[in-house]
Amino acid sequence: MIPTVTKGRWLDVYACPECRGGLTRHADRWTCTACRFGYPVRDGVPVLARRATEAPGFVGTMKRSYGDPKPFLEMVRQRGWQSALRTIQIAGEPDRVAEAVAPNRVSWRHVVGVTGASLVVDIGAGTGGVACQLAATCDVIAIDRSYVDAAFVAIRSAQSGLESLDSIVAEACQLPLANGVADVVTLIGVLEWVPVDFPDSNPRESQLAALREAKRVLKPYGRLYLAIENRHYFAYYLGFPEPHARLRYISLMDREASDRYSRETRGTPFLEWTYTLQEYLALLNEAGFAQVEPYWLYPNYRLPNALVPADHPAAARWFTEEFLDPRQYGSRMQRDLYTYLRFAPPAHMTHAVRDFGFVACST
Amino acid sequence: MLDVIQNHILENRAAWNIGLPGIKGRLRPMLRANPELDRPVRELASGQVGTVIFWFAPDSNCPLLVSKIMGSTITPKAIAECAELQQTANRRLRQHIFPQIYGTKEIGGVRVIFFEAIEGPNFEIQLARAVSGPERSIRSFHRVVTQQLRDLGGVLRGLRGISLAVERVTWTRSATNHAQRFIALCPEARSVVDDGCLSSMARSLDTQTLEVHFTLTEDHIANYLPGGRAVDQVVSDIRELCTDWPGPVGALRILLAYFRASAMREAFLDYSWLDTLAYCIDKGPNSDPLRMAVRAFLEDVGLGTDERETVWAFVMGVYFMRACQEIEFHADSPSVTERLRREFLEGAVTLERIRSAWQRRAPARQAVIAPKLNHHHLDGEFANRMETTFYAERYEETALPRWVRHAVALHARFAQLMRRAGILGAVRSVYGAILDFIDRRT
Repeated sequence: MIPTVTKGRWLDVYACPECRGGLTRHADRWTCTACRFGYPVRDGVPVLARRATEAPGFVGTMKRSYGDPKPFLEMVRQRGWQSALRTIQIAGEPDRVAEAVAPNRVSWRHVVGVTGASLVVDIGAGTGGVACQLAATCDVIAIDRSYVDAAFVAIRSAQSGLESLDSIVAEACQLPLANGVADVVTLIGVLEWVPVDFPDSNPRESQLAALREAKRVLKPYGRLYLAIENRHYFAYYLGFPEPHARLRYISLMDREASDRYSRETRGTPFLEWTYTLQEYLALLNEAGFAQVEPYWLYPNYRLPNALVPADHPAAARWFTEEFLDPRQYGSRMQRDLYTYLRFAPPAHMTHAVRDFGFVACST
Repeated sequence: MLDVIQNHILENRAAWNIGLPGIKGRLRPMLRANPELDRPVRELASGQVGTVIFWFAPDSNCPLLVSKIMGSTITPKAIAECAELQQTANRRLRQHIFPQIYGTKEIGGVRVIFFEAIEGPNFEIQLARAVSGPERSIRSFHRVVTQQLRDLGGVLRGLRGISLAVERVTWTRSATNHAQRFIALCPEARSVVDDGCLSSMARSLDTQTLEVHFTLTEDHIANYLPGGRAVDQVVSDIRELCTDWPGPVGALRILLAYFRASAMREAFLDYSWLDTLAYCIDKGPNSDPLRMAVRAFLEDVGLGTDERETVWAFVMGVYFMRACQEIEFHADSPSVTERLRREFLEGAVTLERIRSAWQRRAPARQAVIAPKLNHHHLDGEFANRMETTFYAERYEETALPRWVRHAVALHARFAQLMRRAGILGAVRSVYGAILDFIDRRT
């Protein structure tokens, strides 16, 4: 039995993801008062989605051989979440435990304006690196479409003694929250994966739906924090594989060509769309966000050590001149990237940015 | 929190006399967090520890000012005392060595300090570029080291005039205490740092009495900026720190950190940094730019004595002090502590080897292993390059043919131009060619 940490303390902020009706909490299910649909509670984690929730999620992707989550979750409970996470750490990949506890996971919190009184909705919580750290200072609802991820976060927060965190299973496009309840919504490395659940829809439309859903649950003047890759990252031109499809040059192609390339190479359509800076700004504006502030997240969105205003070329130039250390660029390609970063004209700087972060205000 | 900080800046900009004749519109923050925040760092000590926010006006090329989010342990009185000492130093040196502290404000239970922004990469980045950057070369390395040591020496020479105590002191007892603390932390060092070594060190230190004056509180070279500028010196008790490090002791802390920096060690890859330092302190021909720079630095900080044994005794004392600080700092992490103990024990062996050789007046080449610059690394890649082959280098065996990469690179450079010119068809044909090529290969 997984310890129940999902308390549903803020039951009034939850709503049926289909009809937006209120939810009544029972021991084994939460029932919509309007449509009477019952959402199951699996080992203490409410599954507030009607679609299947057996996606491998971040933890499952680490395991590679995703199967029955119960033995793994039992191990998390028995041995502690850090120890369990180490057992599925893949050699050569970044240290996931270190990432999950590094304070710089939330170094953006000052820019977004997270305070002790904030209610933060972390969509795509993964191993809870962001949610659990924020929960030390404010209220957090961690949402993931994968049951194993949500259960992992629930156990982690229980083991860390975090009282102000709810972990639930839900979808980004159908959040089980009432209108205007959140102060901050975070989408960190999530938006590009949203279309994967909707292979028959236009990926941009799926992403727009997720953004509009985020805007719906935000309070007036609440803030969205979106962190995502740059479509035209400099290294992609040099042959560095696109991180989602793991194919070279695919993000540089037009959408039709990239889809054909993906279908012929890996047998699936190319749905993990990323965009350029201007395209992201247009997307956020179309979703109804105003006052969008773009940032260059250096070195990446997982552990940003610096947030540089991306719409301020002089600031980006100043940052590269002041702070970039060549010792962090080991391989030949990285050294070329370092040279490009330091000596490219300011107008080309957006090519050199790997990950963007956007702070968008809901009006 | 940033909104509150920004409003505070906008309200006080006239009083602080920044950004006039006026900041149009909102400021843009550039936030920088310490990548090592997961360990208990001294959060107040330097410009890049904790969360630092550089504030840019919409039309400015550099930040107008810096705000640093600090812990709640520092008191306004301590900040005021540091600011006063910094101002005294600035006035005495007739230049702004230290950034001006505009003010402080308590926001949400933490204290935020506002101070002048300083331009230029810090010493460590500059040195790393001279050793590892694309512009690296031996000449560049020598130039950067000479410049940095001259700047630091100039600052430290100027600070010697700001006395904090009337009487001169000896540092013998402190140095011996540090050595004994080191032996207690690292018992294997007992066989190296024996009574003979300690008494010899004490005899050398007894020959010098030192002034107690204002000095730089941080020894990490990342915290020092070009042009003789230093980061803020805001610490909880600055007078106590300066008393602990009288005279050249404070300066040697920085010199040791400088030679121990990874960029410096990369330049002398196969040689101990202590040997490199000893080589520079040792008497000998002054043709080596590094040796000239170090000797000039020692002159500046008041250790321009011909008695290399005396200088080395100070080096030993400072080394033991640093070793104790680091080992005790990481006491909670056994693996880090063990690594540090091994590293400092190895250094102690080198220290003692050089001390005993100099004491018995051994020939220079037997006392110190003359370090050689890592020529292959420093001048290996770009030294004889006649033309730029920026995009055309092979990255790996599976790289695409050169013409394909040129085509992609061309697109990278002129993508915007091509879109404007409405020749997307040409771009698509390039992509098509790439796709066809990849198809054929796969």
